[in-house]
Amino acid sequence: MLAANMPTSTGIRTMRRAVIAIVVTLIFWEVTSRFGEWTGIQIPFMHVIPPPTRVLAAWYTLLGDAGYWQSWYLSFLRVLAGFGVAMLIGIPFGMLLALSRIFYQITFPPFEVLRPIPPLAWVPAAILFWPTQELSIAFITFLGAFYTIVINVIGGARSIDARYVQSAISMGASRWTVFRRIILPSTLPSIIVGAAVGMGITWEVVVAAEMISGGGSSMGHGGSGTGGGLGFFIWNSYTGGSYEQIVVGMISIGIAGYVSSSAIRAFGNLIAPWLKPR
Amino acid sequence: MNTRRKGGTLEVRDISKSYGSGRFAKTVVDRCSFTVEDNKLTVMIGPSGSGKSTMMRLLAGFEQPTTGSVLLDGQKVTKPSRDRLVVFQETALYPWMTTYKNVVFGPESQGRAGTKLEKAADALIERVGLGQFRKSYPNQLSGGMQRRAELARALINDPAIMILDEPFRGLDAMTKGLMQEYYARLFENSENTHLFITTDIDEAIFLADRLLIMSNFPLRLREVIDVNLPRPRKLADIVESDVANQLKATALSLLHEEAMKSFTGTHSMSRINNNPGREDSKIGA
Repeated sequence: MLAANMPTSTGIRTMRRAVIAIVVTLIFWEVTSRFGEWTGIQIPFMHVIPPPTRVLAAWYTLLGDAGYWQSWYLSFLRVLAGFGVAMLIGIPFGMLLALSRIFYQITFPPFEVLRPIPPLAWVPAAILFWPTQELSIAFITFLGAFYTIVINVIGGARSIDARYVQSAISMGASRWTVFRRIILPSTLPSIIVGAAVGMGITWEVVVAAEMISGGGSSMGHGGSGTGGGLGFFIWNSYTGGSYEQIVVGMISIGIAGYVSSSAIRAFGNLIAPWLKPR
Repeated sequence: MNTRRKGGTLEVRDISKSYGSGRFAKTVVDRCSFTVEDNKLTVMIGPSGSGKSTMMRLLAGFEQPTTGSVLLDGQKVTKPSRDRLVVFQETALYPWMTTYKNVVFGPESQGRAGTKLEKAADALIERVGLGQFRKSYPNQLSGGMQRRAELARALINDPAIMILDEPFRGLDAMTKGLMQEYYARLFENSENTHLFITTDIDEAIFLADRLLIMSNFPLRLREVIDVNLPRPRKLADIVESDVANQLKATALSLLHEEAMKSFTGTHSMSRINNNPGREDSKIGA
């Protein structure tokens, strides 16, 4: 109710600041990148990066390229597969760890040993484990999100206010009712946080996995040989010497990650309306 | 609400509660006995940190006493039940449920549903003045409204004993006064037994039929004072009442003694000086 009364000028001001910040960054980038071209004095680091005008031009031609969109599609598919399975397994697994002492004592030590292993260290093993490269990438993506989700679920389920459970039991709630109507909803905020963080890691991991594994088995469907996901798209642009496309790929991943976390936030607000700021 | 069941009598028989064991054992409740009489509003008052909340958990059945027993109408209390519902300090409303969903949680857990429940819940929500906030989440309610929603959530279960653990703590003075008068009316129109735990002497005198004055840590009964002020009560009348002021003076001097113990540190000796004979003493009014 109060949020609706927020003066709209604040919103406009926020928007204006965001636009100014982006424009200033772009100008800085353009100038520093082209400085050597104009004056003969190269600015370290920045002179290797293609200026935004050339990046935009390269992007514009790519918008009509099926291979570019195929890269988006494939990366999204892998992220969603890995992330989806991580949620599906991670939430019940974390709940069990939080609620059953015996399960925790048996399972947590091996979990804690495996957890510090970076997902990318799994790449060779995953290639050996799984019959297709696609499955290997999905598995590594899954690992990226899984640990974060599990840890957040455990933390959330354990920090429940004891009074919630006590009062529910007093009022005659069964164990199942306590789980479904008390423990699950009070863990939901932590699940959403875990999902948002896990989604970020998933994007980091998928790109690296695609670079290492060479884009997966579905290569060649795209128009210009860049059909192996956004990570492979970047790697391919690098080996092909198209530096503008590297930057396009990088920014594409930034946008994809932003879209993904926004989707999770929106979904979180939908299923947990009581968390919305007043 | 004419199907309301009668209240009950809660008897506390010589209970102690210790945490830890051996040298690290810490006794929080020490051989405490008292009775919460049927259909009365009993107020338990004692200094902060004296173990009142531990007593609340024992009475509700969340924890078991180390020795002694709690009896409800002669039946031993062993676990939490709808017979003895607690209204907690601060708010324990479920943040993920609307006011309405919070109120019907108890009955729904019992498998009750339908228009009869809906009507009863709406009537109760209306009675605590939250008709317009039926669909609001707890974080959209003010502190006073949250307490009222919580009263409604407990009342719909029609418990034999209502245990209220400093329910109005943290409210501003105005809201607190209004809530006390509101709660007193609610009690006067009910037939349940109430145990109200507080540290506020004015609140205690205004509400109580019987006043249990507790010792400082570890918790024991110090005195029982009967408060025979006419009902319905009004805050303004109590302030001017000589009887009330007399009671307040008596209670305050006892509480002051107990509070001083925590200042001077002599409360650690109270176990040794423990004189169970005093627990039967009574000051009438």
